[in-house]
Amino acid sequence: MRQLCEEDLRKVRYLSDPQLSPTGEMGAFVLEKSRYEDGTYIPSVYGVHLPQGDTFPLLPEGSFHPRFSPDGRQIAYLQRDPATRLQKLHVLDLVDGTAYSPCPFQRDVEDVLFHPRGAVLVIIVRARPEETAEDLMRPETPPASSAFSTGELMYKLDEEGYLDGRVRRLYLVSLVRTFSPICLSDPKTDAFSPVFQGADRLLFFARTESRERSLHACLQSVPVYGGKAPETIPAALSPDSGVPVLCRGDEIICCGADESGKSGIYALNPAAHGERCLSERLQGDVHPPVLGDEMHGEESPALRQDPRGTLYALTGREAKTLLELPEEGRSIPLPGALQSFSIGPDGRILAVVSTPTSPMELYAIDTSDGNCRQLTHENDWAGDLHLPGPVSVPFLCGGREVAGQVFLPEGEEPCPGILYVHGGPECFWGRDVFFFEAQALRARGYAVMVCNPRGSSSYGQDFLEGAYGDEAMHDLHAFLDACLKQHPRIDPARLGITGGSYGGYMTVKMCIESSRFRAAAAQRPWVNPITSYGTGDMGFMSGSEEHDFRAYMLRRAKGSILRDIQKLNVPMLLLHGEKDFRCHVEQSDQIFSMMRVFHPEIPSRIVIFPGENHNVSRGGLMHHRIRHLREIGDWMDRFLKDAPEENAGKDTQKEENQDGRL
Amino acid sequence: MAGFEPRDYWGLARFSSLQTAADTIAMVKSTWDEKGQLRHHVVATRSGFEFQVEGTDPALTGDGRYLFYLFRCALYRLDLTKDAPVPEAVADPDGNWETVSSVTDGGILVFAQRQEIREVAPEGCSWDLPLVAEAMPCRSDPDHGFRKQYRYRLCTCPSLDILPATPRILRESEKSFEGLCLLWDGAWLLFHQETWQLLQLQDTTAPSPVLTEEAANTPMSRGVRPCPAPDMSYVLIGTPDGMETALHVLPLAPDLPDFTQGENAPAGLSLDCYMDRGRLSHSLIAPAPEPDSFYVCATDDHVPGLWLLRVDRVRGTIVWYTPNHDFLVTDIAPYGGQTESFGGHMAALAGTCQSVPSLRILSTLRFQVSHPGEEDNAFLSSRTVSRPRRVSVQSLDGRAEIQGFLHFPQDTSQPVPLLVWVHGGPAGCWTEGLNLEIQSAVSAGFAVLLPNPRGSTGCGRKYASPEHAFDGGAATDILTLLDEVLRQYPELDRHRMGVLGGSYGGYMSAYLAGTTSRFRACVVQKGVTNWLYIHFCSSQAGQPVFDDYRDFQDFLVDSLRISPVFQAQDVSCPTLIIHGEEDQQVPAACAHQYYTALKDCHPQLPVRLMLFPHLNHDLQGGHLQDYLQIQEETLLWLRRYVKGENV
Repeated sequence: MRQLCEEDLRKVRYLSDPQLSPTGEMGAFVLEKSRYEDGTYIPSVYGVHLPQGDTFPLLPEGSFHPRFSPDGRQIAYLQRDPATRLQKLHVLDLVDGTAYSPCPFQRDVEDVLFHPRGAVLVIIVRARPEETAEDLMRPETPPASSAFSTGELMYKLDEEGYLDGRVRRLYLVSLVRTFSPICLSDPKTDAFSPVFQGADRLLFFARTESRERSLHACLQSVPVYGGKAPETIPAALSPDSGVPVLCRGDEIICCGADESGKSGIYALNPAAHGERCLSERLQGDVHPPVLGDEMHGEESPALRQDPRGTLYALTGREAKTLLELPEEGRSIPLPGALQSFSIGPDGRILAVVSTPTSPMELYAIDTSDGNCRQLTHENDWAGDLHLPGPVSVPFLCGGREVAGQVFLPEGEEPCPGILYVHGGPECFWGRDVFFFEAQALRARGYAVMVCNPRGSSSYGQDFLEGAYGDEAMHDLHAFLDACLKQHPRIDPARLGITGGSYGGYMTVKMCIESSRFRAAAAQRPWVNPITSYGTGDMGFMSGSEEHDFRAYMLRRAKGSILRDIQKLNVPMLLLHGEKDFRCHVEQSDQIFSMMRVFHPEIPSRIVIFPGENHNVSRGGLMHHRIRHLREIGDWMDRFLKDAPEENAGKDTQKEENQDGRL
Repeated sequence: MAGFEPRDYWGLARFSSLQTAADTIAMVKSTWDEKGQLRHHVVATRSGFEFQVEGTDPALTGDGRYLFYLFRCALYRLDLTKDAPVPEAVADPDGNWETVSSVTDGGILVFAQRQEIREVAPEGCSWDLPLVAEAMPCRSDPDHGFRKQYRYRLCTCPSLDILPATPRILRESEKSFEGLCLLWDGAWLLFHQETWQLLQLQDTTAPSPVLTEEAANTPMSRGVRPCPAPDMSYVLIGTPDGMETALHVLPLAPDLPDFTQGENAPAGLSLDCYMDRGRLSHSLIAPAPEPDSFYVCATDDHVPGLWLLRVDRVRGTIVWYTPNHDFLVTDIAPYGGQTESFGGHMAALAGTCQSVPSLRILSTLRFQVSHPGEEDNAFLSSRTVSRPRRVSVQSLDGRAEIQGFLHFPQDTSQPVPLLVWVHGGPAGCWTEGLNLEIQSAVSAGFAVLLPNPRGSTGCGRKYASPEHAFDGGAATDILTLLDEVLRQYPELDRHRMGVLGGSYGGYMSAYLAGTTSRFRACVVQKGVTNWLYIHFCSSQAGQPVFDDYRDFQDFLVDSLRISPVFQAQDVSCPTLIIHGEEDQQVPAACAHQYYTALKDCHPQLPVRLMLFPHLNHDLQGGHLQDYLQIQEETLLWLRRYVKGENV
């Protein structure tokens, strides 16, 4: 068996968006493969016969977002047209092969939802507030200027780039175009996550407040036929717009937080002005931001219900993902970390699951007896590689016993170690995810150590404190000590540290405050709160209690870890996406600059990936992701394995002093 | 007569890179094509003959027969004795190299090449490879990102009668070859590569030039082409001197006195050509027909501009050749052609406050000028051009006379709104030269004050000291001049004033908007709003700027305190912020942060951000449409918020 290497990342097949037909006889899912020539990912919708379990290509290459009609006869999907580059909506009749094209707009369709009675669908397209439906029937006029221009406070988001003022609109369309599209949302307001309430009403989230001040969205309701304006649903609780709601009888099931900030699952009854909490017996946190090192395909809704109305929630507890039935107070045993799932009429679940030794596969899970059947073998190639799972390392986190993990290299000889700190900080490394990066570094001969220190989520509310104080740092040191003690082969004189975003912050901080590490790689880090204001997409004075800008900026500046940057004397690699709007590339520029000035004798290296955002290493172009990982491995090899570098990093490129003119 | 508009740039032709040999003149003419791309053409002219070809960097052989030029980084030759010359490519020794400069003399051609060292994607792949650096400085504005790495070499063709299939490689190096200059009919090559060096190319009976160690270590200013004296005993170069560029003698004979220094030296000759810096070269020094003399385009330390003067090396005297300072001269070269007047002649690229620098033939006996090439920029004659007035005031601390220019619109019957337009640098200056952008603002009905506060060049070395450029001193100079101008010209409307500028001018505009409430609108173009981005993220990053500080945190906070963004709460005027996203000199992060601060502090104040994805610090360096949009949006903003027009 050979070892994993960075190039193996190309082999990973990404499965996502599992859907079960209402008849229960068929399922569909999206399979993505990466393309060598340009590093992009090409999706295709595959089908699976049930209960047989055989999978087969169902829809053409480039198809994604499959959705079955209520009678299971048709399947809707999206596909980018290679000629026009438009993302179009297609509906295929699975029985007689008729193809429908319900959307007359010359715009990308972003979402589609069948009406409970079929024949009619709700779609989402993006439009400028002033555009009419007739305008949308015509191709979009290219902008007259290459410039981006704005007058909004919130004008950029890492996930979306520059916000050009277009909003998502909900339109009702007919399968066979018997009527012109009907706009159900306010044409000037961003609307998303539509859900039918019975056959007569549509619920959705809408940003009624100007995006200027907040990302808050409220829940609205509109009659499907009748031309009335949407109304905000009155409720004491603000539903979390990151989780699509469910309708069950008169109730609306959503995620939200009570006055104390505790999040849970609630059933709202607007008519009765009541709400009841459904998550009293919930073990984990709903909608867990679990981190592996992949982010592909559509995110699965965290709440689902089966046709009988039984509620299912995807939660996270102590770094494990759970599939819980909140009202029954039980959970379904899972073969690994649950990425996405869908529920069928007979209690069968179609789920994408990853394990520490398998990137992901599709499983059929029977909720009555927990029987689990693997349906796909798309990533069987991983079985030919030597991929041992991680070993658990218990340690104390502020007095509480938790466990981290270590991926150990072959053999018994002494080996160097790498501490890999997760980002967030309100995220957690999943216990059962497939962790490609850790396996690749392990294959190079490193003990890769990962844990969830204080500040991480899925360990309860109290555990969330301490990310930016010293608590998290103490926990990481305690974890490192525990790893060294439990596995004496890990050489304490050859330790490296890496992490992304908050993990990059912690990488820099731990190198300043301790001398344990011989090499460091800060990925898309955040370190300077003075310069991150305005360059990153989050954090405004108007969202804080401060009203005086000088005081606000001085408060941001206080407690900056850069105070002691001169103490940073570890070879430092910086990796960043050029278009990162979460932590702007200027943060990496600064660390690199400071290293070159304060410690010119210590090697430092900066690598910037064109066109990539904060997601560079997880969802970026394939050749960028491979290069990103290889840079880390090569850097660690340079300082933790080879003979120490002598006098490297001299400034051999000092050019004639430019005249310093601006 | 019509006024100016931004779209007048479409018809504008600009000239540079003047070269002469015998009676042949070559120069580069730059215009924009219909797609908005800047195109350069080499124009070769002789009485009865004119030829144009797309290219830059003309180099003429001494007899004027051959013209060498660059096009798309390849070197070509034209035989100007033919009626319709056909470009012949000068072969590249082994392909894949860019030619960057060339010199020719005495039948020899020498040219410098470079080859980019970079990663290449696998065949068939359209990968954008990452930017990588392990040393500072790593960012470069001309490279729109990280500094490109090159290997360099010098090549030669020893004879020009037949161009060889493969020129000979003289030297290869990791460092670039600059300041190429042929001596003694091509027997020697002088060049600069960290130091000045000499290379013998062929045998000669002429005395060998000698560089002392001190001479070899003289720094070189890239913007000034070296000019050898006729007897080859020295070469005139530009050398950095504080924020300016000084004329300097590079002696090639031992014990040659440096007549640019010492008691008899003409004091403080500065060759600063910042005022209209393009990407092409200018010939600022030329040997004169008079013995022991040479002509220099230099500043006079009183009124910023480039004036023509003749330096007599033996007597150490200067004669101002443009005594009324009417002509701004950007290029000067000897001229050996026939003219109507007697005596020596020089060819020059010269302009006035009403004309763009173009070709003129000057008589050195009397300042008689003939002006071939009138067809270019003919549209200017149908425009109303505002002539600037010189204004000045004693500085508040009494130590200097603050200088500036003031433009008035035609109609001054009503109170005239005023724009204070701050130049970049701070080592830069406004001059009286024709500037279409300013003329457009004047045509839109504004008076325009162009201050040259302390820190500006063109008014002497002491004046150019940047000591107070960033601590409010220059700002005080500007406001002092503004008050004087308002006092002297009551027709100016002090209640309708705007402030704008680019780069350092953008910094100053933001600074003034945050420290006074006198202005009704502000436009910040590619402006510095937080010094930390300059110190750590720009092409100037990597300098140890905090030597005075014990505590680095104090340095960070103090840098913030003196940055315009810190005063965002006090800004009360509508502000337009414009920036190129690929700007490496002043990172676009400055625009993001300043804009966010203004929006955050003042939800009701009109504030707008415009980012151009493909522009670097040279906002004129991309498509003309982008540059015109910047001008138009700027003018619209000022008309709306300063003048109160409903646009």
